[in-house]
Amino acid sequence: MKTRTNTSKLLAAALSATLILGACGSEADTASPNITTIEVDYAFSPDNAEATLAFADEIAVVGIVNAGISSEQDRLPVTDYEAVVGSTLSDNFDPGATIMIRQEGGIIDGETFLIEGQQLLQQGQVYVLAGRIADDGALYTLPGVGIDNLGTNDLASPAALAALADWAILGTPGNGTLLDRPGS
Amino acid sequence: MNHAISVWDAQGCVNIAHDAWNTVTDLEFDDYTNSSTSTHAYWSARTGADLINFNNHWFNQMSADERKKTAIHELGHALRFGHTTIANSVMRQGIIAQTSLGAHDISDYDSQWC
Repeated sequence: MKTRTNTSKLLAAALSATLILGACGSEADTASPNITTIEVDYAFSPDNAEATLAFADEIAVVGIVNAGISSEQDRLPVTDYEAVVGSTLSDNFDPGATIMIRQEGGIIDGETFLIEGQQLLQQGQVYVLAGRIADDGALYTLPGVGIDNLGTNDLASPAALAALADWAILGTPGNGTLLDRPGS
Repeated sequence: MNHAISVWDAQGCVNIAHDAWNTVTDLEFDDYTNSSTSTHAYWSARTGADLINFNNHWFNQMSADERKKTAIHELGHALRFGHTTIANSVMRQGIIAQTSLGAHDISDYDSQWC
């Protein structure tokens, strides 16, 4: 895992090859009556951007390519999405690379499991995601401020670049660092 | 979990007891280890028994009282209480040292179950 901590690298070459993602959105079936909310307790507040950045390995602009495949890990529904990388804060992934994004929550046997306060990632949308890099190389998303739907399907949109720059102002990912003992 | 069970049991209106041959399991507890997530515990309603699951990655860093609070908190979810920001409530989110119910928790319990 590359751990260079340069500030946001806005690679013009990669951005010129921005992938316009398919417009086929795939939302979680929130209208379905079969929705279970999982009550999760977090080690630090998901609203705490500094703590999220410190714990994250990477902040990345990604475009979600598929609807995601849900499974159970640790008896918790999670969904793995294929995503294309636009730009990153710590260069753990190459721009244009296809990576796996993992999010807690998902659809199992027709039932939708949503982590309290979260929505599943949507195919065709661009996000700025904060995450930890799991053992299998997937970017495991951190909730709350760690997931920002930019409302676009353009990896190189001004909103995408600005969102990543906002994270860079706070600092660089801390690769599992806790700002304070758990609870902050 | 024993402490958490005794704390809620002491309120007197819901009997939390071990499963027996002639009872249907409503709730089970489990643990796992995942260092990639900020989730340190969760409760999930399920077909059959609900599940409370604790993440050892975080639990191994917590004090005894922080673990007790988490267990009381998750059992609170099983009793159908949601999160709150009210001071001294065990239903506050986060890793917090607390071993007893707050006034709000007791009030909610009485309203819901008694």
